[in-house]
Amino acid sequence: MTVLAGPKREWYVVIGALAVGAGLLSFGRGRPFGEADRVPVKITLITADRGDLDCALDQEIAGFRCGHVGNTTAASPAPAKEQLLAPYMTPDRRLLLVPGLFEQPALSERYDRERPTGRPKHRLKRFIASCEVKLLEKVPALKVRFGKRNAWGDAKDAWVAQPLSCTVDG
Amino acid sequence: MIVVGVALRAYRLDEPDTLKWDEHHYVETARSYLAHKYAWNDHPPLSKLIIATFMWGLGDGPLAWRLPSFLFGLANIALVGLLTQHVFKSRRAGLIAAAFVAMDGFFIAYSRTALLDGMIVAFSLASMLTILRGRTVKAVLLSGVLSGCALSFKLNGAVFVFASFLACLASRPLRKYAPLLVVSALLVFYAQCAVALVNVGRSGSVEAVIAENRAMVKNHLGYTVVHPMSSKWYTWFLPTRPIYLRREGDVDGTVKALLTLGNPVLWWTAIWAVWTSAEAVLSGGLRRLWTELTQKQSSRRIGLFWLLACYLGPILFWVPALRDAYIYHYLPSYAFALPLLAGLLTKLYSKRRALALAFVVLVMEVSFFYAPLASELPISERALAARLLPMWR
Repeated sequence: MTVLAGPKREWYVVIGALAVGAGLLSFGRGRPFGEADRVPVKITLITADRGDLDCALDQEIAGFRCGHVGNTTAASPAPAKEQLLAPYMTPDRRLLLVPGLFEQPALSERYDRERPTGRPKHRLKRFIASCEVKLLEKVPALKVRFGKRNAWGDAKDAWVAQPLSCTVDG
Repeated sequence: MIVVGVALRAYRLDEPDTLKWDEHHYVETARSYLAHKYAWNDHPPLSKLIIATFMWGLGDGPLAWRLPSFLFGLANIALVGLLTQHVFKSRRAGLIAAAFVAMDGFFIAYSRTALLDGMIVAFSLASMLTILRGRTVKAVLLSGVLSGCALSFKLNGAVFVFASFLACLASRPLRKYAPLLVVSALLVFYAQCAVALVNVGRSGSVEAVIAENRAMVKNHLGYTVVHPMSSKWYTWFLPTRPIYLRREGDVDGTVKALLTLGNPVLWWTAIWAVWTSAEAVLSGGLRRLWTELTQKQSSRRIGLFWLLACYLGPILFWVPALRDAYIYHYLPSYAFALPLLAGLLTKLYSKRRALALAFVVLVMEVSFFYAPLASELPISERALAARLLPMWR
């Protein structure tokens, strides 16, 4: 322990400890999933969400686009269904932008089982889609609305996630 | 360490823009005050009046909700430092104690949320510091006002009115003014209740204030529901049930967590410091302690005694278990335990410098290791689990 003694050496020790601490803080937090990683996600849905959820963003991401540009005017030309990004929520309320989610076979089938036409939304059964998605990019800021008649709201830090496969629970 | 501690408190203080844990109780009441509408109070109104003032100045947003806690959190660093310096007559001890508070996750968590317990700590520390340092009637009045503020956040702040009163009684030059301390504390308590009532168009009379507080106490005593995150006072020493004030997962596999968990090294060694200090205080027998308390103006033993009293007081408040308690009720006690640890460490430094330095380095590294859990830095689920004992998950 005498090796640590002496005021000057003590400062070296403290500075060294701070550096190690900064390293712990920077690199000791584990590696998050990043772009191109495949991750499992759960998404909470009702069948009326198909075609009812909108996002507004100027950017095109890997060929996928929102139905509206940043100032919330409709994109022209409108993206194809498979390319159209829409905002969805995970059960713990994380926002995701997923293109063509309801084009996935399991969701398309679920939609056919409970078509929302002519039924109030609150009568539709909420269900969970468990999907494997490929993370494409995190969008720092955008606008979303959860219903064609709803007002636009600001959102941030939403991952654009391309669905690879999905199953439906409920 | 202090600079890092301040940065960890400030990091994205305005996130999330939704309310965490019990913030909704206090922010919703503050909103009602701004709208001059009556709101039922689970606790005395002072904290909500302060939050409402910040919301009035900065707008109804997350920064305004949490800025008071942040500022009181900074004050806690300074106050613990000053109190420790006063008791141990050592600037080094003061700086060490301040650094411990600055880097401790429990204190950081309460500096980042619109919750009351960090604010109570600030006023209890200030009240005790004032009365222990003071020699004039001004100090007595100020200590009364400060402990009255602690009482005006939550009723368990009464412990510090009592502790300040006893410290005043024990001090030879101040004891004749001791009743003034209680009177000033009660006046502050009355004033903040009356302001809250008048603000919403009700009577601010003494009777109205008593009725309001009687209803509040009755409500507390009538609690029958046991919250799953509540914990018995004797579990706080381990602790068994820290609370997630926030736990938000992202699809990229990271979590933003805010856990009321102190630095485990500090937590457990602080308890050892309490035990060691109690032995030192009681070593000469109770008679000698009594003589010193009532005759001497100041000594280290007297300082230790009051730190110990302020450590034990908030715990004893919860022993009768009149309602459910939570780990955060230990925060005021912890604030008075860290000076004891800093004092012992300073003593160790004079004899075995390297060992004392090694301990500080260990505390520093453990603080960095746990920092993501107190400052809501994104952390992977796996890295989070690696930091937690099974009972903390």
